[in-house]
Amino acid sequence: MGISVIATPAARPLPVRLPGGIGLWCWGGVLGLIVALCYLGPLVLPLPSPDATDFGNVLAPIGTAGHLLGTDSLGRDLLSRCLYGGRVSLAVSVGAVCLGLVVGGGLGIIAGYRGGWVDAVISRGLDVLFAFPGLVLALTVASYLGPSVRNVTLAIAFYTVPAYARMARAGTLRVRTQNFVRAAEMFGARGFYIGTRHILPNVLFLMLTYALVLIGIAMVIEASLSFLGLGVPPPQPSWGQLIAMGKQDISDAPHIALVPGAFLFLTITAFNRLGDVLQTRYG
Amino acid sequence: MDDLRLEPPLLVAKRLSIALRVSGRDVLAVEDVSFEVYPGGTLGIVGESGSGKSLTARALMGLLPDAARLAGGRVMFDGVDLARLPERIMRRRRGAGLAMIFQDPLRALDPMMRVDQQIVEALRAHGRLGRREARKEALELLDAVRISAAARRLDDYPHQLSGGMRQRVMIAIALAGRPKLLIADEPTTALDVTTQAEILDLLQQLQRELGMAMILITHDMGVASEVTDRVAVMYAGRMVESASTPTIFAAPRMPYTAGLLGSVIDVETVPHSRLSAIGGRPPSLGDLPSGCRFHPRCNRADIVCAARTPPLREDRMGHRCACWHPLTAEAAG
Repeated sequence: MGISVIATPAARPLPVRLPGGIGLWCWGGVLGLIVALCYLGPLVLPLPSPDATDFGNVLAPIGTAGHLLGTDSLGRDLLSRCLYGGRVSLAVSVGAVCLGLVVGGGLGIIAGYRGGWVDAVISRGLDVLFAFPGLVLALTVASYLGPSVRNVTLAIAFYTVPAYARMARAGTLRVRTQNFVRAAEMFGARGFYIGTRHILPNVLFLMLTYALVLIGIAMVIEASLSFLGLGVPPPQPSWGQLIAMGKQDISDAPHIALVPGAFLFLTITAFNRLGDVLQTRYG
Repeated sequence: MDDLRLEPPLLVAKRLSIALRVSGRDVLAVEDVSFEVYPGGTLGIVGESGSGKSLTARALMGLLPDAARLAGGRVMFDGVDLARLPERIMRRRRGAGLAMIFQDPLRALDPMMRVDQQIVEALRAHGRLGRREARKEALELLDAVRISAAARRLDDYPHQLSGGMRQRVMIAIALAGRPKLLIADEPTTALDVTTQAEILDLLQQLQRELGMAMILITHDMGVASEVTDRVAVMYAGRMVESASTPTIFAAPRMPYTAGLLGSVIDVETVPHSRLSAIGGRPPSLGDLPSGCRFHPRCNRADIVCAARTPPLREDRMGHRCACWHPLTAEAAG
C-alpha cells in the first residue's frame, strides 16, 4: 500500500479557478448587498429622508410600521440614516485607501527602486509616521484640520500612506533584482519607465488585495473619529457618528447604537475576510 | 591568429577591479582583469561560479549590483571610457552599443507583459519609432531569432513560451538596439542540451549576419570551444590564462585551465573511465589565499606560489598566463 502510494506520481495541484471558494462568494455577497443598499436603497426603497423628524414616533423599536429599523430620539428613520451614513463611511475609507495607494504606493516604489539616500529619507519619514498609533495620528490631524468629510479622509490617509509605502517598497525590492528589470536597464530604459511599466504591474496586485484589509481598518478609524466628535460633522450621518448619537439612549433604546454598529461590523468583517481570502490565494 | 589582426579592438578592459561589500567590508571580487574584444570576434570568459565573471560582465554594462562598485580600471569601448561616463549618457549606450542576455530566460521577461510589448519597448527606448513600425520590427526580430509562427507569438505572455523560446525572445530584445557587442552571460545554462546547441548556433549565425562582437560567459569549456575564438580563464577574481581557443585547448599552460579541460566529458571520453576533477573548492571571497590564488589546489605549487602572485605574462603568440610553473614552455619565436 505504502509502496504503491510512493510509486504513483505526485498529484498535480488542481488548476486554480480564478473566481471561487465559498468564503469569497459569501463575504463578497454580504459586501455587495451592503454597498448596493447604501447607494441604491434610498433611490429604490420608499424611505423617509434621513433628516426628516417624526416626533410622533420617537425612539420607535425595530419593526415599527414605516420605520423598519426604528427611529432615534428625534424620530429620524434609522434605516435611512444608516444607508446614507454608509455612503459617507464607505466613501471616506475607500477615499483614504485610494489616496494611500497612489501616494504611498508611489513613494514606496521610488524608495525601493532608487535606494540610497532617497530610500533613507522616505523610509525614515514614514517610520516617524508609523511610530504613532494610527488612531492617535488621525486624531491629531483631524483635530488640527477640523471636522469635514475631506479632512477625515486626509487624516486617515496619514495612516494608509505609510502602510502602503512599506508594502510597495518591500514589493519593489523583490521585483527590482529580477532579471526583467535588469533586462530593461540593459536596453537603456529610464527609471520612470521601469517603475511604471515593470515594477508597478508586478506589485499592484498585492497592493489591491491589501486594500480590502486597509479599508476595514480605515472604517474603524473613521468610526472612532466620528464617535469622538472629530469625524464627519452632523447632521450628515456616518456609522461611527450614529453609534455616538445612540450612546445617550443606550439604556432605553439600545438598537439606536446597535443597528449602525451591526452595519459597521458586517462591512468591516466582510472587507477583512475578503482581503484574507484574496491574500492567501494570490498574495 | 586573431591576435595579429591590425584592426583596433572594439572593447578593451584594462586592469578592471570590482569591490564587493561582504558583511560590512570591501573585498576585491575582481582584480586587475584585462581583455580585449575585436569587432566581429568572440571572447569566452570561463570560470567557476564566484570567479567574478558575471560581475565583470555587469561592470561592462555599467549595471553592477548595489553591493558592488568599480574599484579601478578602464573600459574603453569605441574609444570612450565607459567607466567614467555619467549614468545619463551610459544609458543611451546600453542597448545600442552593448547589450546583454542573461542566464535565466525564465525570469528575464516580465511575466505581466506580452512579448511584443517587451520587444517594442526595447525598440522604442532608442529610436523614434512609432508603435506600428515598432511592432513590425518586433516581428522581424522574432523572425530573425528563428521563432516559428512569430506573428502568433507576439501576443503571448512569457509563461506561454518554452525556455528556449524565451531565450530567443530575450536575444531579440537585446538585438533591438543593433548592438556592436553582445554580452551573453551563461545564455544556455538553464536550458536543456538540445536547446543549448540551438541557441549557441543561433548566436553564431546572428553574429555573422550582424557583424556583431560577442562576449560569452560560461563555466562550460565545451560551450566555449564551440563558439569562441579566444578564451580567457578566470579564477577567484583574477584572469589566470587567455589565448586563442585552439591554443588553449591544445596546450593549456595554467594547471587550473588544464584541470578544467580534464573535467570535460565528450564523445571521445572512454566509457566508464574516471573523470578527473580538481581537488578542493574555490576559495571564498572573505578568505582568499596569498600568492597565486590557485596554489592550495594545485599539484605543481611550491613555496613561491604561496608567497608571490604570478604576473600575467604574454608571449609573442598572444598567449597570456599567470603561473610560476606553467605546463608547457613558452612558444619559441
